[in-house]
This record gives sequence, structure tokens and C-alpha cells, in this order.
Amino acid sequence: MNKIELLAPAGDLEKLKWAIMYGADAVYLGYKNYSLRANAKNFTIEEIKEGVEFAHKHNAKVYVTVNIVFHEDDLNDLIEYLKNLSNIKVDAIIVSDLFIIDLIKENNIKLPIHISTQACTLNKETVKFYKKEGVERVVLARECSKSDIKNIISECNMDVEVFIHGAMCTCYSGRCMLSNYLTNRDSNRGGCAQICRWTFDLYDRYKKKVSSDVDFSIAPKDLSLLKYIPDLIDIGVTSLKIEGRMKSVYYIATLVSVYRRVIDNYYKNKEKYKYNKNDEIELYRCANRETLPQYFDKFPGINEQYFIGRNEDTNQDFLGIVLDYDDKNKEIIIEQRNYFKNGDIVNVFGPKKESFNITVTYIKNSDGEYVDAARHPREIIRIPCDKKVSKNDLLRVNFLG
Amino acid sequence: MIKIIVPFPKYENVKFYLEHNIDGFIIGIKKYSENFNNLISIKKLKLYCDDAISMNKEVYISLNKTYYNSDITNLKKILSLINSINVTGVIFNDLSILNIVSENKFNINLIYDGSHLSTNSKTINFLEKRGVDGVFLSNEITMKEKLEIANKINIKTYICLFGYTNMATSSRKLISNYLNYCKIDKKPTNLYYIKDKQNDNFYPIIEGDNTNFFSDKILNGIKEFANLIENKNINYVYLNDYLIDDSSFYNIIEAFVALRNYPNDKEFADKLEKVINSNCFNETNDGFLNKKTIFKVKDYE
Repeated sequence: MNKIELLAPAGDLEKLKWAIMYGADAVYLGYKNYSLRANAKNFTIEEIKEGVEFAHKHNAKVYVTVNIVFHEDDLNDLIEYLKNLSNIKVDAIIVSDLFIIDLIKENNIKLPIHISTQACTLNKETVKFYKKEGVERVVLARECSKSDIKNIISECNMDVEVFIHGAMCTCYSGRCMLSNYLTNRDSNRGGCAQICRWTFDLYDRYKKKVSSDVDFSIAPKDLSLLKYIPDLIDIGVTSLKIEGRMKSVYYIATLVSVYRRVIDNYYKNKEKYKYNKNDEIELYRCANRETLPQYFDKFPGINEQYFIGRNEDTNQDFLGIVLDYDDKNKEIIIEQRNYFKNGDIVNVFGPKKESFNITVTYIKNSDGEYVDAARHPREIIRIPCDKKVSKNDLLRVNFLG
Repeated sequence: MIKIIVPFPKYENVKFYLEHNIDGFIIGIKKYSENFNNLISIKKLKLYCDDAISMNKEVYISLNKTYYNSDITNLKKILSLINSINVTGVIFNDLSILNIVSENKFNINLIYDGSHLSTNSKTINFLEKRGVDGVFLSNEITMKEKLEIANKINIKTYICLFGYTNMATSSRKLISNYLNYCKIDKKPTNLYYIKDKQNDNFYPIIEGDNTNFFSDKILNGIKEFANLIENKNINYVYLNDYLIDDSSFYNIIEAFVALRNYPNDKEFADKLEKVINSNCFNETNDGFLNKKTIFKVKDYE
């Protein structure tokens, strides 16, 4: 059996590279059209090409989302676009609209198809349908429990992808038009206005307000299946997907490195593998949002929703990006992101390596002057470090103690 | 001429529908269908279907939920039962139905109601090639788009022109969760409304097996109906009574049936539109029939 795939979001070319450097086996991204993040930066064809070349050079794969629900007006140029994706050797496309299956076959376009979570696949019969159609993989709906996933894999012998981390939709994906009706923005074509994050007043059937100090909310907390990675591996899931094409480089790097470590540690020694609470802390500090297994281990209830606003404390954990290491002076050259000062203990982490702490004994600015603190975002500074670090390692607050 | 179909009414009200030349009924089944005023138990399904068929009405069974693995065994039994009844078709949303019918070689006409997903002709042509016989077009596209799609497809086309529109479905118990959190007792009814903070729109929200959200306004497409009566590409109009009281819905049916006898009579359609509005407390609009949605927000800023 192949090792499970860790699949990361790539909101742009920079994030694609970071995700792969930090250990993603594959990334998914969207073009300016046909993708459900219509208002994100997204990729041009040239950027996708560069991303594919970078990924393949590092033995990683690139999947492109073509997952809108098409209207007649959206069909123009689609065949040419798909041919382009095939020519630049994209590894698969992620689709929700069924006709693309035929379009690919009829035009002899060499692109494997993954069915998007937007198609809301919850059962084995639907997976069997896709299998007969030659689909390579199905991304299951986030409403699936462990037992559902296990049953689908064992009965369908089909590659299955499961979301393991990130924001949740309140409603079945692809079946939510709240954005359309409340804001005229089409959620199935990438315009979702995230109505499930709004608060409302609740009224009874006689339109009498239900009296409460707490607004009516339908917002779910985020998903994390960190604790269940061994289970997902053991039941035969093909790919573990992280949500968040709009998230920062720091977020992507942290999540990918944590999940990479957990996956690798489990494969290294399944019997001796132990859940590490620090991994959970790392993930939490990175997004500052409560995460739960949601549907995976039980049917979600009160605890899986927000009612009085998100517990989302902002922090300034991300201190800087390593640009280089000066061997001669044993100094790290850093592009600063958040404030830190002399005497602070900071944590350095990087792709596929153990993190370590260093004490900041001095800080030099770009003119070589000693300063008491790194105050200015994106300024280039130097701090001492005996241990050699690599370009693109990251510095963060030492929250693990 | 275009046909009018409605949800199967309470048994005692069937006479009214027969007298008004309704062409067909849609039956919802308890636990396997949702968003119907009356859901029928599996035990009574054959009886109801046989009755409706004996009235020379088209009979559809709606299996319009999204199904989990745990539903599949019973779903197969239900489809096997339906296979033994001479119904006009099964209306489905989840592709599991298509697979079960195909694998078991059931002789059942399938009508796809992907609710929000039937928005282009190519998808419908894909489904036709897999044995689907009809399609409900999405409520979230314009009338112009519906006509364009209907022109490009070969299977029967159904559109909804009256009723509350389902906006979204969540498997979570959203009302119970909130009331439990606030330590407020849940009323015996499942119907509540949510009102957003920016305006006075009340959206029905109903918690059953799932929690369903509905449009604040009732879709009233009778003016568009006037232009469709002799259209050969749109075959069926569905009038949805969900959350509408019986007497008001009778008036709605009468209006549509009356207009069907006077195709292209815009003046009459205008009058009937007002009748429908007044029966719905003026809480109607034409939904997306004449309004396009946007998705690239920057293009409109």
C-alpha cells in the first residue's frame, strides 16, 4: 500500500513552494476562472506551469480545482483551458460538475479526475457511480464519519481523500445557496459570502422573537483530525487534505510540517507511535481557532459550534523568515515579521527537521548597528546562532517552553 | 401544453385537485424525502400511488435527500418496491439512486432534481446518457438561462414557479443546539424563522432529520408561466405548497390552471400575479427568474 498523501492548499505560487518545501506530497490550487475561490489571488496558466515544474522537481503533485457548478455562460474556453492543464502536466483536476467527465473523454484530454467535496459524496453507491465513470479519486463530504469512510473504502476499492484540517461549512457543500439569496453572490461559482459566519435573531413560528442575550449562530468550529491520523492511515485513506487556500505562508508551513511529522512518525513505528500534545498546541497557536474532529468520531452538537463569537485570539507568534545563514559570523539573516527583542528565546523550525530554541543575545540591523529589538516588519536583521539553519526556515515565539 | 404538478395533498383534499386538472403529484416518503407538508410512510406508499394512478394522474416519488451509507440498504428496498409500482418516475438528488437503479436494472424513470446543481445543459446531457429521463432546473438561474438550457437538452424539463425555495441544508441540529446552549425549551413545532441583522427579512428554518433553510419570499413566477404555456421545451411546472396553507394554495392552483387556458394573455397574468401576492400576504417575488447572481465581486465594485 502506498504511503498516505499529505495534500496542502496553495493560494499562490509562493505558498505552493512553501507547502512543498515543508513536506506536502501534493498541493491544490485554482486558476482565475472555474475555481471556487473566485475572489482570491489565484494562479495564471504560466504560474501553474511554474508550480507544476517546481512540484515535479520535488516529487510532489499538483491538482487544479475546476470545481464551480457551471452556468451556460461559464462554458466558453473550458476545453482549451483543460488541454492547457494537460499539456503542462497537471497531475489531476478536482471537479464537481459531472459533465467534465465526458468533456475530458470526448476531447481525449489526459487529466485524471478527482471529485470535489462540493459534490457532497456521502455513500458507497455514489462512489461506485464515480468509479464506473473512470474517476480516479473522490474527496468525501466532511459530514462522513470514520465508519462511513472505512465502509466506502472497503466496499468501493477507490482512492478516497479526506479533509483533516481547516474551516467547515455549516451546510452540505454544493447544497448551500445562503449566499445567493442573502447577498446575490453565487456560492457554487466561488462567490460565497460566508453567511454561516453571520449572526441572526431567531423567531418562533408566530414570528415572536426567541428571547436570549445570545444571537442565533450556525457557525461551526474548525476541523482537526490530528488525533486520528493513525486511524485514517489504517483504514486506507489515500490523501489527507488541509483546507485554506487563503491562509498565510506561516499557516501553511506550520500545518504541513506538523502533519508531515505525525504521518512520518506513525509510519516509522506504528506500535510505538504516541500522540504528542505539543503538535496540537502548534496547530492551535497557528490559527488561534478552536478545532474538533467534527463528524469523524461522533455526530456534532453544541460543542462543535460557535455561539458567542469565535475564540480567536490574535498573536504575533510568527517572528521572521530565514533568508540565509552567515557561516563565517554564525548569524541568521532574517526578514522580520513580528516584534522580538534581545533576551527572547525564539524557536526555529524548518522543512523536515526538528525545531530548536535559541536565545537572542543581540540583534543587528541592515546597517550593521546593534539594536535592542526587531521592530519593523520586513526589515532585514541578523541574530546569532551557532547551529546552521537553512533558507526558508521560520522563526516563531517559543510557545512550547 | 405545459403540465402542472404539485405535492400529493392530504388524502381528504384530493378531490379538489382532481377537479382542477392537475396533471400529476409528487409523493414524499418519511425519512427519505424532505420539504413536504405531507410525508407518507413506506407502508402506505403503494396504496397512495395506486390511487393516484387510478385517477389518471402522473405520480412521482421524491427521494430528494442526500443519503449516508446507513440509508443505502433501505433505499434499495424502497427502490425495489417502487419498481413494482407503475409510477411516472422517481425524483432524486443523490447519485446513489442513479447507481442503484442502474445496477439493479430497475425499470424506473429517473428525474434529476439536483436542486442547485442543474445550471447548464452539458450536465443534463451527461445525465441523459446515463439513463436519466427528466430534470428539474435550478431555481438559482434566470428564466432566460432555463430556456436556453431547455433548448439544448432532449429530456423532459421541469421548473418550479411557485413556493418557498430551499436555500440550504445542514445535517446539524442547528435550532436544538442553539436553544440547548441558551437553555431555552424547544417549541413542539419545527418551524422557526431567522432574521438577519441588516434587514427585516424572515427566513423559515426547519429542523427535522436535517435543518433546512428557505427563502424569505415565496417564488411567484406566474408571469413567466404565461409565456411558457405553449413552449415545447419546458414540459412541467411544479407548484410547491410547502409552508403554504391549504386554502391559499387552492387559490394558487386555480390561478395557474386558469392562466393555462389563456396563453400569452399578459393582462390576465398581471391580474393573477396580484391575486397570488394577496394570497401570500404580499411576501412574494420572482426569485432569480429575472436576476443573475454574481461571483467575481471585484467586477461589480
